[in-house]
Amino acid sequence: MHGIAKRLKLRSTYQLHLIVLPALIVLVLFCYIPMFGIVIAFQDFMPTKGFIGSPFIGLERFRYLFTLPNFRNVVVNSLVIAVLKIAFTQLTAVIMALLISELRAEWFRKSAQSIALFPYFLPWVVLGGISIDIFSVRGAANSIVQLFTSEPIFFLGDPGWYRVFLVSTDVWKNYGYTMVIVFAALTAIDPALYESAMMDGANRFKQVLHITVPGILPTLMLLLVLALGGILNAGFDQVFVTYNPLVYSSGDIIDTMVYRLGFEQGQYSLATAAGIFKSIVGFILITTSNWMAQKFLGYRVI
Amino acid sequence: MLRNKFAATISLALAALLALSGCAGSNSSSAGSAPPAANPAADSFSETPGSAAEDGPLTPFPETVTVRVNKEFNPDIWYPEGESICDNVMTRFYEDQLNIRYKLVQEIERGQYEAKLNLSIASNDLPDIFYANASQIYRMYTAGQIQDQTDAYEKYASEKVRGELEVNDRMYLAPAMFEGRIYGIPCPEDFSLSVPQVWVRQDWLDDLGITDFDPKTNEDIYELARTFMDKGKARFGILLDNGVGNTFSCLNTTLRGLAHSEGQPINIFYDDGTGNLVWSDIQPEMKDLLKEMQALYREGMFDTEFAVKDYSKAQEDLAAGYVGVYINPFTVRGPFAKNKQNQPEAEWTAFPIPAQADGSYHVSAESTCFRWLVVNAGFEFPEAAIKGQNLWHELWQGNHAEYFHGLNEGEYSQAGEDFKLYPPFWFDPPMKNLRQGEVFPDAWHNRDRDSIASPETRKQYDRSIRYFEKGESDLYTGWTNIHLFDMAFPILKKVYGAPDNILFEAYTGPTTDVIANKRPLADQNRLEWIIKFIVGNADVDAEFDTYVSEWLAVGGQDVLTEANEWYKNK
Repeated sequence: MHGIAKRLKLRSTYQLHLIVLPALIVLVLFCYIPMFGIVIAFQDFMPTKGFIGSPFIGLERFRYLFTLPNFRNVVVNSLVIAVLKIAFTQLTAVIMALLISELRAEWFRKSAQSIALFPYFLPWVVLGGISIDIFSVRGAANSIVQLFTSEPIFFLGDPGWYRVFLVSTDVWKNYGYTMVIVFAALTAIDPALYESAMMDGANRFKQVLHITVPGILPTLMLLLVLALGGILNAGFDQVFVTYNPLVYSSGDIIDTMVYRLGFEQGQYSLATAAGIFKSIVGFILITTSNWMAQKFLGYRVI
Repeated sequence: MLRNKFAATISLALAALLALSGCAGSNSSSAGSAPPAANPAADSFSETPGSAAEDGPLTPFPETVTVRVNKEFNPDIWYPEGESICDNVMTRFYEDQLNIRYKLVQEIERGQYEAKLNLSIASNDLPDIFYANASQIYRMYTAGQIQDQTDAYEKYASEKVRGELEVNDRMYLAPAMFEGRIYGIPCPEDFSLSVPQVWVRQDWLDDLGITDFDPKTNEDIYELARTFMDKGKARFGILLDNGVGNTFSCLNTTLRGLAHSEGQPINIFYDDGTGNLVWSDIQPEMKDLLKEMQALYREGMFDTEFAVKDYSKAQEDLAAGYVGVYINPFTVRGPFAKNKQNQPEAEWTAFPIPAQADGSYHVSAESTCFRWLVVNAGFEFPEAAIKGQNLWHELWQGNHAEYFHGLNEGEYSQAGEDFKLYPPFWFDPPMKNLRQGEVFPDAWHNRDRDSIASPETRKQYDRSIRYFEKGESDLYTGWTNIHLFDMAFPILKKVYGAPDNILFEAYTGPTTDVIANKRPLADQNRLEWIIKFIVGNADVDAEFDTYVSEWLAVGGQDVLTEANEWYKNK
């Protein structure tokens, strides 16, 4: 009886399964099968022998990676830069979304949203050159700085200011995208809640605090958990197009190091090892943050 | 075609005559060493086979050999209708002369050659004959992907090619040699790519009425740079970049130029006199130079932001006319032409860098060979590589040069300097420009075209004549030829005494894994510290030792050990 029902169900839904099939095949082909390639991180990979014939050397590559003199510095840089970027992007996006949503003129709201989103679509190769000009000693940013102090700030050459430069330009470029998601969450909040709050005498600020913020919190958690997975992605292209020898100490990140070691010199095993290291850290963070979101906020993301 | 057939017929006849008279036993080397003759019939005489036994440097293969090659595609290169990157007048000429047909199996996006070749090495999908850099050669050698070319080289390399490539104790061959065997044919560039001169804006000198500028000390250079700034000509004194983006950055050549008077080499390994190799930039003598640079930075001699500007960014400042003193090798064509475009009044003159205390010159120079021609392990005809290079040399500088440069000035003038990229592979004889610099000045000043023997030099002479006397707007070659052949190379030859007085990079060993892995780390550390010292983020006296120990720790020590081991067993 049970089996017949199941078969009947399949008969009526097989078209849907067929529709999913190509996507599944592509997923397996391009996302799961290439994962076998990670074995080269544990091998003395020789191209001629391929990854079936190359000898296994265990964790040697990881040991080498961890003993690289600037590895610790590079990991710390990646973490600091990525955390700052995540925090400030989310914060800016939420604040801007709340402010813009309070606007009355719809045309202004819409255009502000589009303008905020626009830089998200520009690649860093283009923005890098523009931002270097803006933040140079003779640039626009420094003409503002010089209204307050006489000394210009060396944004791109001072290790401390370089991080400020990285985070602020990245926030400017990317907050629009997060903001659009927050807007979507805002529209999902039942307007009746606001009406009843108003009847109870809550002012605008109280409404935001007790209705809007709890209402978008699940979405924020989702964004945060997903962002944590990429915590060691401090933004390769941005750093790569803007860094220079003066700021290696505060701006060199795992990806730029892997690029120099792995791709410029063709050390695939080492580059793979670094990639696996990043994935493992991301995996641990994403699972723990998901677990914490579930435990403390009662919200399940994944 | 007709001329070639005619030449071949005559030479066959002559060769047969020789065979009859019993002189055919001469080996291939005597064929190559025959003095170059003006008459095409006579020169192919010595190099065309009379019999199978006489298999010389330019003997065609009996059967057509197909060579699979890869090529970097450059969309700026002009080809006439019906010709392409791998089927053009030059590849046809190679097929005609050597019976080699080149088949393009991989076309590589411009600027991606090394990265794409790394992928080809990883997937073991290599062409038959191709360029590779030193660390790629080491990797392919250890993996058995390329073959020993020693026998082919010894047997077929023409005397002319040997003369160009085997200078200075085979320093160009050495990085691609393992256990005494040759695995790559060097494709070097001019030897002096890193040897600086002091370039100065001549029109500013004229405007300010300075006629006696002739730098004897570094202070003379600074004094002039200050004058240019004070008089409102220049925005900053001396051009500097952050050492990124070009093998021979402005930073290194400027350091080299200013360090010379104190006898300090820059960015090379050299023998300290005890049979040990040492690394120049961690020597205590560097301290004075770095302090000097720091003081200059503080007074505003360099762009405040030079540390942010890579090679091409800094060149933009030169093109914009912000600077009038530029310590750089002869490689000024592009930057100067752009400057002249922006400021038509711009004129540049070269002066020698200040001499050492005793008046002598020992300028340090980095290696200028970045790639070698290697042969796939599975390829049957390794001699196709060296034979191709022999023919290239004949085209570029030798017996076919009239034909090559004639085409370049005639039907193929639209291709310009890129015409040398028509053949499958090319290299620039490292000392060739020096030789041009010996002939060019007199011929140029006396307007005596006939005194020039080399067809290439004559081509450059013609271009300059067209620029200066016929008003052709060829800034890139016509105008800048004067800088190269009338200024830079005569200085190199007469003042520096090149190549004998040049202190060449002493480590010419293979780029082993240790060096390939550790050298970039050490180099990055060096660059970071040098810039920190110059901009004053670090105190030279207090922190120089920290720099040295850090440099040694991040990989410098490993590189030094490896280099010395090679040097002792050399």
